[in-house]
Amino acid sequence: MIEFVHVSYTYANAKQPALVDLSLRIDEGDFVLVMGASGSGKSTFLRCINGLVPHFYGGQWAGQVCVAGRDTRRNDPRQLADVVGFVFQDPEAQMVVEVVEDELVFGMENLGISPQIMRRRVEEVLDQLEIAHLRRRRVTTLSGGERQRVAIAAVLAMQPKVLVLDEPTSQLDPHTAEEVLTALQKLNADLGLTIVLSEHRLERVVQYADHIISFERGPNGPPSVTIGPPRTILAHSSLAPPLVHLGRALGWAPLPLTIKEGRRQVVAQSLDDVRPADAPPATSALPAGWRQRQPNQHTPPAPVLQVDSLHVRRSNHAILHNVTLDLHSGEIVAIMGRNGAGKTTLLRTIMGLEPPSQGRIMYQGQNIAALPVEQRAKQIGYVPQDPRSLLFQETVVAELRWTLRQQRSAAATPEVEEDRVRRALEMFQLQHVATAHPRDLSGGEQQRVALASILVAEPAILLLDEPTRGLDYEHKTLLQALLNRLKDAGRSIALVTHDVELAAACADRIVLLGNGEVVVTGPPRELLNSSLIFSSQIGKLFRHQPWLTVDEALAGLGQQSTVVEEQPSDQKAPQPTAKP
Amino acid sequence: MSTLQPQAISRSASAGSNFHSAVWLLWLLAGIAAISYNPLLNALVMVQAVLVAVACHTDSPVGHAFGLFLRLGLLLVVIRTVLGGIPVGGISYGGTLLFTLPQLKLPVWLGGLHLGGQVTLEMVLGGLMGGLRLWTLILVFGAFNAVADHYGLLRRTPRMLFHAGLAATIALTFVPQVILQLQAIRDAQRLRGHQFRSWRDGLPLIVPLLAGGLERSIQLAEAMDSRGYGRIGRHRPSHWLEALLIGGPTILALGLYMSLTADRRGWLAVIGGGLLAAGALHWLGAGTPRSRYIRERWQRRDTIVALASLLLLCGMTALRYFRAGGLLYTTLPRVTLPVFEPTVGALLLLLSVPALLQLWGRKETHGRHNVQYSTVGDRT
Repeated sequence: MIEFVHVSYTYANAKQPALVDLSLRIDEGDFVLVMGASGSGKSTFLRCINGLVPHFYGGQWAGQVCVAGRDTRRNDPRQLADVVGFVFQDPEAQMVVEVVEDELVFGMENLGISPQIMRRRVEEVLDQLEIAHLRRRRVTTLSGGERQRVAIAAVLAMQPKVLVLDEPTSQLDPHTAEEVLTALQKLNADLGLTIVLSEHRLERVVQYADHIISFERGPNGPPSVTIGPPRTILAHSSLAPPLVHLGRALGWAPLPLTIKEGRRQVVAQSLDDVRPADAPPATSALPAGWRQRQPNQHTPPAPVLQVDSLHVRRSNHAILHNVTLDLHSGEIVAIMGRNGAGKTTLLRTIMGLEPPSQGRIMYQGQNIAALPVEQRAKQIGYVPQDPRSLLFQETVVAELRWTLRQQRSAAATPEVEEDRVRRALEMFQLQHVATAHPRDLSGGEQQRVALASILVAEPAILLLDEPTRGLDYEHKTLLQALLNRLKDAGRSIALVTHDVELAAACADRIVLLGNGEVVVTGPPRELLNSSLIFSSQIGKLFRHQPWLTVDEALAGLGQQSTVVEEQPSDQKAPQPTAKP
Repeated sequence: MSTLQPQAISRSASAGSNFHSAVWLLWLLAGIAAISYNPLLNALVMVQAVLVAVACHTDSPVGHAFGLFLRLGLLLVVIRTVLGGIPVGGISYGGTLLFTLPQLKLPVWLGGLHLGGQVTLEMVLGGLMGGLRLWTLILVFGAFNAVADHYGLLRRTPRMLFHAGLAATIALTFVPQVILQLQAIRDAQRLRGHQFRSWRDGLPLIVPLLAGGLERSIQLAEAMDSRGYGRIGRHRPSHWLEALLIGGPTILALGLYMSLTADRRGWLAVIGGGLLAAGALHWLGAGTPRSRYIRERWQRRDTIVALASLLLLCGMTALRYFRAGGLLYTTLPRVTLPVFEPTVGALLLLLSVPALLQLWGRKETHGRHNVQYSTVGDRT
């Protein structure tokens, strides 16, 4: 269906090639996952399939790509539109028309499909993506998840033979993401649609993929690209979902890709046995050397930030209802909940960007209702969803200096400020890009610059909105380490996230919001283990154990020595033993 | 109609708009034709433009942006009045002296002109009249912008004008996006301790706004390209068709130039060139596959507005041709009261026909959009 023959490509004005001598073939009806670190060439690869590269971007091209027998050199994206459908990462930027129904027909009208067939297809895709109730809505009024489904539906309505999706679920909550992916999987299974999809959160997609194309960045050269069945690729790749990491570490063969496969191993080796007699409640069952994850015992009783029965209404519609939340120093609280549950509004209200209709917000025992945003920003740092909106200076260093200049305190001398900037650059590993333009950086780097530009002012509290959106595993691990270091330094962090793995790895407490109300608050061990949707892969795998992350599970299994030592391989070694 | 095929959709008017897009185009032309030199008549046009915008605006963000045009126009009036009032080169017109400005000699690289001197009532009022005409034009455009369905108009652009259509779409989605983004960026800056006290504090907004807008525009262009916008048929246009496409507008431009020199044959050339260009565009577009999901149904109210607009258009052209006095007004040599001719005023009232129909219809149907899913024949 898709054939790359010795494709090399360099963007206009780029020093390094994005693709070098790439040859591969994707068969009809395949579900292909494209994975790789950010900036490794995934997006370029996807754009080759419908001819956006090189037709839209220019640059130097060599080789040939054939899609359904058509050479992309002779067919530009418009001519390929009936064969290849493309869904972009940002659903907001691909909406052409104002109303959902018109958006769905935009592509079909361009293809010249007759009105009767259009009518039928509109009904079909409305049902396939379960968006029938949205048909008369304006696109601007939709939530992120709804928009992404509309975008996919609009492309599907054109009935392409190949569907290419560039990180389609990066903005969706776990449940909506699963819905979208299930819909895709059904299209692939029932209609034989060829699907090529890139994704950072592998745990969501690996189970559906027939093949994986892996982009591994070389030290400083072009990426090396391999294609193969998921098990073969994941056995060696540096990026892997938690389940695969655990499987590799424990030498499970075959390597489990789904929770079901993993549980089979767990049951076969009886790793998840409940032993009511000698297994007291979760926390005390923790092995020695266990990372202290409970709120610090020495924490003074008074919280740094107190949100007290907060209500927010917007045009007669309750966004937040009676929300109460405490944040202690040296604590990470994860705020979770489905799209549109009011998570972002909660953070914005704390910052003073939205007025509460009722309730108090206390900072160190003082009501800060009267303080304007700029004043609150000195104590409370907030990084919004799109980090780029924070950045506007010419260089990274200038960004940091600008923040300090805005919040200049009398005591700060230039030396002190320079020292702060230097420390912030170090902390966020940004020294090598200190003089680069923030907009030229990769997504992960921009995220860190935004964080640095807020944290350089050393606020006591940090609020993060979806910090892992669009980050690969490597950058996520980096972010986790960073958050833990900040926490150890006594900062308080509240983060809004859909990322269960992140919450499992670093949160002390989880607040689940639903429909503007706090549904439940508790330690991740209790909450994430018992939840069906908001549960980490490891949590799902060991339903009766308190483990949520790979490290915890490995440490925990180390205690249950008898079982694991029967395994032939060294359990801690990351050597993959799966058969290719 | 006994097929198993689902029926095509037709609506009384396309999404959100209250009248047929072609009708609105005609109304726009009539509105532009109605603008004269007479401030009283212009005021009448302005009032009606506001009326139409308020009564017929769509629900989209652009539909609510009429206030922006109102304010922009007011700003232009002020600027135009000030510029008109300042004497250039020490020469003043009119006899009613208001006050005397100190003379200022511009540097040579700015032309070395003398600015300032005797400011007269005639000059200030002349500037004001010019400003009012501009404001009227802006309001007519603003009203059109608020009432028309932009996507409906985009569907009507000939396929060969691919880039124009693309640019128009990007511009249309750009404005509401920018308004939303502006708020987001402003919030973000305040989060970094930036205080907004004067317009100067807004400067840091511009960079991320433009950069973000540009990125977004590229993404949108990419998305439209990927979804087949601007697809053309397999066949290449023949050479004589291409020649026609170049020749038509050339003749049109030539004709316009000739008409400027009061050569009546110029109008012939304008009409001929226009027809040739339109024909070429039509033939080129005919070979490209494209269909319409929604048929804008032409209703009786559309006919009424179309006829009213046509009548206004013809009437104003005739008045111009016969150089009717009521359309002209000048503050020179001395300020006089403008004359209001009731017949011309009555003619201009035709501009508010869509608003009246809309207000009247609303009482009847209790719904502004009147969207109907009804069946039409199998014609494609």
